[in-house]
Amino acid sequence: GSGSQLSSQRNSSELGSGLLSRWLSSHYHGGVHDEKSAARHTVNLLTSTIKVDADQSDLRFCFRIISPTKNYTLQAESALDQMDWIEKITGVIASLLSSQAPERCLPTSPMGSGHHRSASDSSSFESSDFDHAAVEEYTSERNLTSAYHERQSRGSQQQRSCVKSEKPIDVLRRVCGNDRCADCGAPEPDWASLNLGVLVCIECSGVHRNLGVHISKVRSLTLDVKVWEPSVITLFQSLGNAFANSVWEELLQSRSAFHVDLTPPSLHKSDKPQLLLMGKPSHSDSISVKEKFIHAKVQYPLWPLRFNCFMHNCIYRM
Amino acid sequence: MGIMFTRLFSSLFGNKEARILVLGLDNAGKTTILYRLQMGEVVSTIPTIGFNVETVQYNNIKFQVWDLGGQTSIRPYWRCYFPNTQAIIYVVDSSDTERLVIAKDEFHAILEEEELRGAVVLIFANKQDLPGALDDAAVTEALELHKIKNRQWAIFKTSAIKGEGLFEGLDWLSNTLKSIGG
Repeated sequence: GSGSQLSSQRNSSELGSGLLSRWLSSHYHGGVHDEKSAARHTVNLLTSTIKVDADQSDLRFCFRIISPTKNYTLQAESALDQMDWIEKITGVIASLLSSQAPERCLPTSPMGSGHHRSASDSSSFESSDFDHAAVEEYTSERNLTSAYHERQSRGSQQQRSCVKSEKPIDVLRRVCGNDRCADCGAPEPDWASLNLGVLVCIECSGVHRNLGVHISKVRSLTLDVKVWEPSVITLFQSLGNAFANSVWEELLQSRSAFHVDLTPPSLHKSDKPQLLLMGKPSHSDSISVKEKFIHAKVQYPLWPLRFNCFMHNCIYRM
Repeated sequence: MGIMFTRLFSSLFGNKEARILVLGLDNAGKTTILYRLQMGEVVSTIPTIGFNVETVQYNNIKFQVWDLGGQTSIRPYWRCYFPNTQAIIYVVDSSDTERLVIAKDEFHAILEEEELRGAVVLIFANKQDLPGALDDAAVTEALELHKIKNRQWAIFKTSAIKGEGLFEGLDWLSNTLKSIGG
């Protein structure tokens, strides 16, 4: 794909306070100091990343867009503005990466899923003009949500004549409990544990990955395209976070209760907090709190073997 | 003149800078390795969307280390970063035996890339701390490393979590790059 171009040629009245006060450009080897020529540069955000500039303390509110070949240093007008730009551009990069993923067609009819980020079809990105417009929208409107909706509606208009197909994420989000991360309750989880049958947020997926693949096999709903075979989708549809958690967290509860029972009578007064310790974290909790909970939840040694074998067979038959 | 001379001098005889790509399947441990090398500590990681890039100074060589996301649909973009790359660090989750075949296929596809013809290859058989992890000999076999032709390569057993094997690998890398004048 041609990817999106972020142009630095902007109309300041459109951008308002979002106008970057400086745009510096330099090659990795040797600098280019002509700001006028730098201002005409475009950068493909699809293969770029963004970084807060720690080593240029003389320039306040700076951040860098790093592409495979070039390094652009940009300066915002305030710390708030800087954070805003970083957040928006990071969102665009993530959105581009998941939107450009080759799509898997599923024989299900699309239903209302209004606020899913990845709703535009891959063919919407074939035109570079469209890409450009989309990024302009993101960065100038300073409102990702409306940009998503805008792009979505445009995308669906373009796609009306095409074959209806649904992405794994859209199919699986409708399953009971899958609108929230199975571990911390964060909205719109787009990662999954293949062998535990749950959808989780990206942060909790990091905790799952740290446990090792013998405990949790993590894949992305949007970035790992090959794994979402119809058989896996069907399996996930028959589970869902609500059901999976009813098993996992029941085991967790009974285990806590078991521990309480084993505690010497003299300590019974403080038993309650032990149960509370195992309480579900919220998505605003620190990663270490989530880690503790997830470790306790998924490392239960008596997790029904039959279920595990079933999952295993379904997933590795492919 | 004085300034120009200084610049020329430092670029020829000062710290060498090498562009290194860290590649491998998703959840191989690439980001943990990058930050272990750069900061010397274990950071909590989440899946990398896009990439991370950091400078690591070691053995008088400045490594510009690019850690590229490993999810299936991001892998096709690895090639955008191939030009001017002196070395590849290929990271394998040695405990994920079910996906070693995929790791092998991705690895040999990389070696066939024209733009990486001159790049040396360092393989990290990572996650040695996990149960069931294959050792370096088993990973060598699984990745069919004996098929590598006309290229300097080495494999090291590593545990990014424990910090084992990483700097031994970087030693090999810096010595190899120095010897070929990279």
